[in-house]
Amino acid sequence: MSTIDIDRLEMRFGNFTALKDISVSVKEGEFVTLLGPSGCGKTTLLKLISGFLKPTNGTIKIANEDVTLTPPEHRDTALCFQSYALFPHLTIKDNIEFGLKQKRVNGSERKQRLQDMAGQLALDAQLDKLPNQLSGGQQQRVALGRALIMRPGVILFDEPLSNLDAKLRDSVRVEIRRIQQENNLTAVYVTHDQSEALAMSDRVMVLNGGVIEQVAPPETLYNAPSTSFVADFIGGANIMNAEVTGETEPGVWALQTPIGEMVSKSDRTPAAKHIKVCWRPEAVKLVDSPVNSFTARVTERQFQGSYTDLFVDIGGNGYRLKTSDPGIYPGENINCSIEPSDLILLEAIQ
Amino acid sequence: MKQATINKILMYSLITVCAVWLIIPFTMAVLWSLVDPVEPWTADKLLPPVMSTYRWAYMWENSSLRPALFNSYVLAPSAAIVTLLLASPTAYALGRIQFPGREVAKLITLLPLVVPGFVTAIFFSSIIFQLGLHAWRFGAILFAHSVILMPYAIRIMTVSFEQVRQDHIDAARDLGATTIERWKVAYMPALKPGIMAALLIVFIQSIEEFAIAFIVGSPSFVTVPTLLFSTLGQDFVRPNAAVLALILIVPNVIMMLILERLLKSANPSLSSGKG
Repeated sequence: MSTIDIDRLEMRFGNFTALKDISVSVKEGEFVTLLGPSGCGKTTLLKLISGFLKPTNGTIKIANEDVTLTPPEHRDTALCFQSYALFPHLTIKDNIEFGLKQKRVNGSERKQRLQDMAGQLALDAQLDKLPNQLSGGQQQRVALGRALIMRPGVILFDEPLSNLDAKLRDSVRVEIRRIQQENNLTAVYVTHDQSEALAMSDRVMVLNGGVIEQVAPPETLYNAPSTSFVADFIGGANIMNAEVTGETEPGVWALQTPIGEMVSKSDRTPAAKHIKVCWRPEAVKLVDSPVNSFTARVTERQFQGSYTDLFVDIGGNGYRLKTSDPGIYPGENINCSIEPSDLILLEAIQ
Repeated sequence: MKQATINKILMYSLITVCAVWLIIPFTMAVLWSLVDPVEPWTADKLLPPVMSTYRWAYMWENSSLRPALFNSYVLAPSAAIVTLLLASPTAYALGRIQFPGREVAKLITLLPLVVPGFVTAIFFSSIIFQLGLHAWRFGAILFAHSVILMPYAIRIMTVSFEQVRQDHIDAARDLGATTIERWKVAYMPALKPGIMAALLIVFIQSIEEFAIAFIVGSPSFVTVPTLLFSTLGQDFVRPNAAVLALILIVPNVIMMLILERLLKSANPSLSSGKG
């Protein structure tokens, strides 16, 4: 249960800048996810926090202690590897106890902690087996147990679910979150799966090209993305260019967009005159309204069960809508509207 | 023709080839070593007319077989260990460190195997004489064997080092393991089969090596191969040669079987990469 404070961190490999100007603080017991596409620098950041890499610039503090140059074996962190990295020739018991033995924790305490951990992770029956005799989900739990038994100040996860099948992934995800909350662990979790990030995290940090796009709780990230990258990466969005024509009343902005004149209600002040705006496919209401209404022609329909995806054409541009009404077919013209608060102001157009 | 028939034909052909290549020479050697001197084994007889262990006793009593066995069986394990120790740093570098020209370096370490053994032996021994190392013949041969057999050990150990998984090393480190502990838990399990294989191959090569042992060692330092080759000279006695040949082969076969066992019992998950 430690805090993490990262200040102006930079990581360069030769001429390649993997991370630039990363500053973020993680509170005690907080679950923060690093989310981004492959190559965005999320694993590099995790390696910097765990100590396997030394940053080019900047500092990392764990529990207010500067650990920027401390090697991993002396850091109060425990890492869960994507590949689990269980020692194949050691039994589950020896794998879980490995870290305690390195720390020369005495036998009786080791036994006690092992029992607790095996109970918590339902591994009691597996302790004398070898890793390759266990299923993927069980191996994952052993990896988790091996890290947790150290009672680390910070627990780090490197895409721990990517080797599991979809069904198992959901249950292990619930389990990781439960254990993290029960033990009040400070956790940093790397993933490229946005639904994993939204479901598990207290806060999500979206990385793109080595820079932070946004750090926010999942709800904020979804409802008020600050950049078009975040809007598109989390949940999908219709992104348009817009020109800010004025402020009609405090917090309400008039916009000129490719689908007509619109208004947006936002706490944010537009970053420039020409900005990007977005709206979620499911934010659209299929009713007329005095503001923000437009007519769309349906070009394609995909029935998904609980909802239907509609691909529509508005003034020559393609957009996507989600509706609960399955009775709309290609060729129809529909009247739509968007609440002003559902039209989200994004970054300035470069 | 049916698949099964083809399989059967191929199977029997293979067995025949194996028999011709292995079983017949081996049987012949055994039979020849048992020929009793009272009656020679002539071409018109399928088996030796009189069989006894006379030749074995004779060779044991009347040749340098005893010192030769002692020399060979001290030399070969020493050469195996020294070669492994000398090869390991290079293998570590080739297997685990990224540097430009690594693939070329790997190839170059194998080049000595291209040159025929005798050519290397003649010039290598001249270097040993120039360096004045020949005074201690055992040491000189040990040194020469270690150097010449190093490509095998480097090659095997490079592959072994490549198979050590970085995430195992990192996991051990993350859990607080010291350098020694990291070696024990992450490197050794993956290296063990390679170490056994390298030791065994160098052992066998060294125990069978003739050229260097002969040029550097003769006449005072005999090994089993130099003894064997000398019996092939002008006073060639086939039964005596058969005894020596068998003495040379038998331990190798036993060692091969031991290695096979060791490799099979090694943790299968290490080679499959799972777990």
